Amino acid sequence: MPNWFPSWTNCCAPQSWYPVPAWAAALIGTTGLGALAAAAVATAWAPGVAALLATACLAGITICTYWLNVRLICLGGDRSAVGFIHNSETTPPTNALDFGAYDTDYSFNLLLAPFRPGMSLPSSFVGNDAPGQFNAHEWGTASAATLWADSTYWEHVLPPQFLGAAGPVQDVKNRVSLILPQQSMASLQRPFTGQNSSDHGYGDSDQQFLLHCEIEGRGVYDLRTFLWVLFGIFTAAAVLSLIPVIGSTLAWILSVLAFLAFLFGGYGIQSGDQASPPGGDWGGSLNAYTPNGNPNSPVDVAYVYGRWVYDSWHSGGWNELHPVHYMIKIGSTTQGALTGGAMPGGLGDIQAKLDSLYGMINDPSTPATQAEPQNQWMLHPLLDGCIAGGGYPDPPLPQTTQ
Amino acid sequence: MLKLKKTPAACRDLADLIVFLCGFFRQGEREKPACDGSVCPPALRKPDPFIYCQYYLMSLGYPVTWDNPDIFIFDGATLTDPHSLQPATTYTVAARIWNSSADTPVASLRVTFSYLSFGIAVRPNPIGSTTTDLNAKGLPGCPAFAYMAWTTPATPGHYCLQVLLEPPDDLNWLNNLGQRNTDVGHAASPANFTFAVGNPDTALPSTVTFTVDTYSIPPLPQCDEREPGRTGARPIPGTAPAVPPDWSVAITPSELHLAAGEEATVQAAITPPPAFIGTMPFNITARTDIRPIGGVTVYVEVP
Repeated sequence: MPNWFPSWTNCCAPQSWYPVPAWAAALIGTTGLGALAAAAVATAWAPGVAALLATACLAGITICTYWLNVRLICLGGDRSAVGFIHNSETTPPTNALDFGAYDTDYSFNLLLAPFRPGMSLPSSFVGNDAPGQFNAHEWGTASAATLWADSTYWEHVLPPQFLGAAGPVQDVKNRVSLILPQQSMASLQRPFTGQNSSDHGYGDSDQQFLLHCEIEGRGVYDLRTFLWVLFGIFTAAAVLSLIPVIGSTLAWILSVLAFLAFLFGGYGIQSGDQASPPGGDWGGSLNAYTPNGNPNSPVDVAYVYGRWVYDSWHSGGWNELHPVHYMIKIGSTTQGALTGGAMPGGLGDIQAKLDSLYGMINDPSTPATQAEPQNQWMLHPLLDGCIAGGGYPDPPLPQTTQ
Repeated sequence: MLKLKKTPAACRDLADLIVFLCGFFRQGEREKPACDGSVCPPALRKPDPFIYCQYYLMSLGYPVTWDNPDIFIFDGATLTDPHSLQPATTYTVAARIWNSSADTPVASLRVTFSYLSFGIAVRPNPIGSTTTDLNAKGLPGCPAFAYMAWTTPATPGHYCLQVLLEPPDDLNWLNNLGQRNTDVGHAASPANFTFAVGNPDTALPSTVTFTVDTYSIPPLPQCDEREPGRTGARPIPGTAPAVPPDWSVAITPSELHLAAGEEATVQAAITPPPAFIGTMPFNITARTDIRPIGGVTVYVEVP
């Protein structure tokens, strides 16, 4: 969509997922070592080193391709969520050999409305199992049903004004479902820990009502492109070494220069992607929740729309909106009100309205509609617009008034 | 596992790398804004809800009318002349709201209605607030409309209706306030009328002067009647038509020195030339040394 923030990943269906192909990368690297060993026997170090570095590039490309196209498991398409900005997480640049630093995604956690900071899901549900431990009961829909059926839990932890016959349970069900283990994942035996607040200096390690969101950076994508170029250079160096007399020298020079380019260029990718996104605009800032912060400090409420996935790369496991296509601020509260459970009203209605409005904005016919002459005004349609059809609408006759 | 890309994709990747490397060496030109502990998500979008805002347009150097084309008054189901309102009567004020953002709507946009009364000082009187949903530019739901019942004051006089948009976030906070002058139970001739001017500054005195022009919003062209090859927005004239030389406009006093919060009465007399037949608009805008503080638009009609 033209108005969506760019992304560089794909998600795969659960049945198409496979673990990190470390064995494939190791095989490729071993092949390179074998080439080096063979070259050493023939005292042809230049082509051997170049071949080793070329295979190292292929191994890196394999990992990058997995990272971009396989690690994210699709959970059912794009979703929206509303909540309070909890914290942001960004990866600073380190050095070219640190693969993690190429993950230049801008990440933040969204505290789902209407939950308060530090509130945990029932510990009997998730959170107490060790990563990698698979329990069948965690993946059944019945386990989610127990959460909704535990009225004692809801009565004690939810703000009182959200209890009632209509039930906050129904209002927030779709939101909370975003952070629960999904039935589609049952056969993959992936761990699920959810997001907690202990990493942010308060609370405990049990899963809390935090939804992890990531706005993509192009770091790993650029790294893969860079590795392809280096692969070509190292391969060329290996071939050049066959030239009599000067071949080895040329090969060494080319290999060293390419390796230095990797060291500096890799760091450049990590730090360059920390700069502003395409178009130069950051869009603005949002006030985040701070543990033990000033009670009067603002905390912003956001509507976030993105692809709902499970990220299999982490040692724990949780669902995410990744990538975030766009997000907007829809309100504000204070630290004190948030921790005390005084929630801004109508967030569910606002989310439903925005879902509907964005349905029109994201329609494929929208760009053509907005490109029509009567929509080309810049300041005010009555000043710099033009009339097409019936012209700009006047207010309909009032039906009821306040 | 290792997937060899098709040639076109590989060429695209190489092109991307070249673009990136060129950008990398210019990376010093791109600076990340300071967030000071806030969250600065690059995918954050902002809407731009707005109404015909005289102050914003004047700040850009454009002429304005004080007969706001985005504020309407209904008497029941009948559109009513804002200059012929009855005292202590309930009308419905309707506001038309636009969005210049093509990709960001506003749900439950808060719209606040008030009116200015003149007495001891310029005082805003709240009428009420409501909400409306505003879609992106050019789509159904843009413009959006907000309605509010208003019972006019029992005291006849000029009253300035104000409509303020209060979104949770905005690309431009300067174009959210629209004003429309009304006359309640005030049947004076527009050729000779009085109006109150108050110093809105409650701390400092102000010197108020007046400018007069005959600007009115030109009729819009049909889209298919525009100059061949012209696309995009219509040019907006930057200067307001002056008072024709054969007209006489006398404002007494022509300059006011008001204490903080003080109000004064101003008399305006507009004399058409003997042969004039028709209707002529006059915008009288009051300004301090710092900024415009309001105005009135009157129509002199000679049948």
